[in-house]
Amino acid sequence: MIEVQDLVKTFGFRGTTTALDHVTFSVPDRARFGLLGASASGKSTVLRILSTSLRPTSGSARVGGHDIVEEPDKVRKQIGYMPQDAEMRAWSTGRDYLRFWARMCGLSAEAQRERIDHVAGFLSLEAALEQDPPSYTVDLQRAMSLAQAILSDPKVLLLDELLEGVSESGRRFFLGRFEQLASEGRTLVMSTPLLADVRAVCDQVAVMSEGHVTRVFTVTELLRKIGEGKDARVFIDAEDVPAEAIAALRTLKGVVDVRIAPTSTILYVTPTEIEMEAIRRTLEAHRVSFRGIRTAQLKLGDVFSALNA
Amino acid sequence: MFDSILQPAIAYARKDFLEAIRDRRLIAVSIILGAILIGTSAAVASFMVSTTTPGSGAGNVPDPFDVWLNGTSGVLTGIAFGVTTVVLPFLPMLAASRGLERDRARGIYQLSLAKPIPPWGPALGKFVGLYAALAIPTVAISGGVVFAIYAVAGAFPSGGLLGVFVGASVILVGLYLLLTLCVGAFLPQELVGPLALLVWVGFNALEQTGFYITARFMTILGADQAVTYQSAWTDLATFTGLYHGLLAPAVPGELGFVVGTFDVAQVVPWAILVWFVGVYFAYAILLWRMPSR
Repeated sequence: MIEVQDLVKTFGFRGTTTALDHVTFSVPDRARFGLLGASASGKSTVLRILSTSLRPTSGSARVGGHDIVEEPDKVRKQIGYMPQDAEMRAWSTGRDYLRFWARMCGLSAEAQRERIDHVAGFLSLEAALEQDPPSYTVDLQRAMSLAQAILSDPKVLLLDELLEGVSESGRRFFLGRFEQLASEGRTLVMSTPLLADVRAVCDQVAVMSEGHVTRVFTVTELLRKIGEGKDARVFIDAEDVPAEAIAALRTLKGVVDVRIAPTSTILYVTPTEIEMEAIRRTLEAHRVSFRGIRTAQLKLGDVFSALNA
Repeated sequence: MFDSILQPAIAYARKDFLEAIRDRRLIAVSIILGAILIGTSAAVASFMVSTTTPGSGAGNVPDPFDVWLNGTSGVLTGIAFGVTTVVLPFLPMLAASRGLERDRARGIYQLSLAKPIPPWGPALGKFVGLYAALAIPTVAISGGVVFAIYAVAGAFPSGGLLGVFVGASVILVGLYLLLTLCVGAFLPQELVGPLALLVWVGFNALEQTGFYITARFMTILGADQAVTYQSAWTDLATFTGLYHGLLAPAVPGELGFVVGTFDVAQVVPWAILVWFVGVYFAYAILLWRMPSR
């Protein structure tokens, strides 16, 4: 469905800044493909090029067999693109925003109404359609932006950091919708800096760093490489945690591994399964004196460390 | 196919019209430019003399600066030929530049490029939306010029000249708007203003230079000096020349400001149409070119 070959993108005077450096990967039809990488790793640039809104410096990319530079009009008929930052201040209501983009898909007046009602129902946006976009929460902004991307009922969805900043309930909502969109036969390509997103949505992932694709994995391969379930961490700030407390922590649901660091104890956990209160109760039962408990997503640095090991 | 052009055109026209009429900077600049033009008109009208004075142009035929003070029509002719083309273009240049800047800064332009439509609709819609918004201050300013002359001199300029002045001002604004949009479609945002300004300088300076060179050469070739001198006010290569070409036939005969027999005056409306269509196509194609950054 998507083939990217030796894609290079440079910016600045005489191309001094390299955003993409000979990026190559392919995405099969109906795949759920992730671009995993830190900020400025080139994920958004890849998506912009695939969306035909940015010309590559060299290399080629094809969507559905059509070259993005030679046949952009044919590519555009197949894609729905959701950029990272969707600006909605120009419109007074959500309906105005969606009507603008429905018109920009060349839909007739009747088709516009039908598609707007359909996507609003699909993303539970009925109430938001009549609200002022600046009043939207991050979850609503993302949902509205996703709605504009699926207005034309595209075969390929390019989603740039859709889950960034959304609430936990919003995240669950979007994951459910992704499932449905994928089950309708669409190809999903999403970028994210979070391993947990890739784990939840994708079946394949290209790990990106400084404009390179380090390697393309199946998600199972990647998780096996870095340690199954190690997609989030809980830090217990305490100097002396006795061995029996460590053993008890290991038995808690959602805990994958426990490591001892100089000033804290680190639990590698599965975020959807772990209960913070259970950790607290276990520590108190073993009379462990701790200053606090903190959580953090597994950093991309940890991913790259594991990949380079 | 029809919807793929019409619907995007409506989308952009509506958005840009609403944004432009709420744009505070554009409103402020409209007020300033209006004050300059209306103030100048009132000042000139206050020096108006009622008798026609012989011109000092070639062949003793009065050029616009000589008819400047001859009655209210003379004042309006002077303002139209001497001031309007210099002052008014700043309005469309600003509107076009800010319209493009808004779309780029908000990612609307980039996202538009990913949509399955040809370029003609968004390009037309953006132009129409901004033009509709600019028509309001343009008519208000040109109408204000006429009323300022009336308020000071106690009489309206000739009806024909008055109507053509307002209409030609609207056309002048449209031409500059489209050209700035075209320039902005391929230039980085920071260069749109400066290049539009260069075009403005070029068109105004070019028109004046062309005017004198044409007159000189045609005289050398044996043409009637007076007629050549007057006809040369019209040229088809600059917006200033086209504006003058529209206005010249409407100047009342008693002012002695002759258009001459030069055929250019008759083709001015066609030349304007060619400019509009040509620049629109160039603008649409450049706008939908896949950007490199």
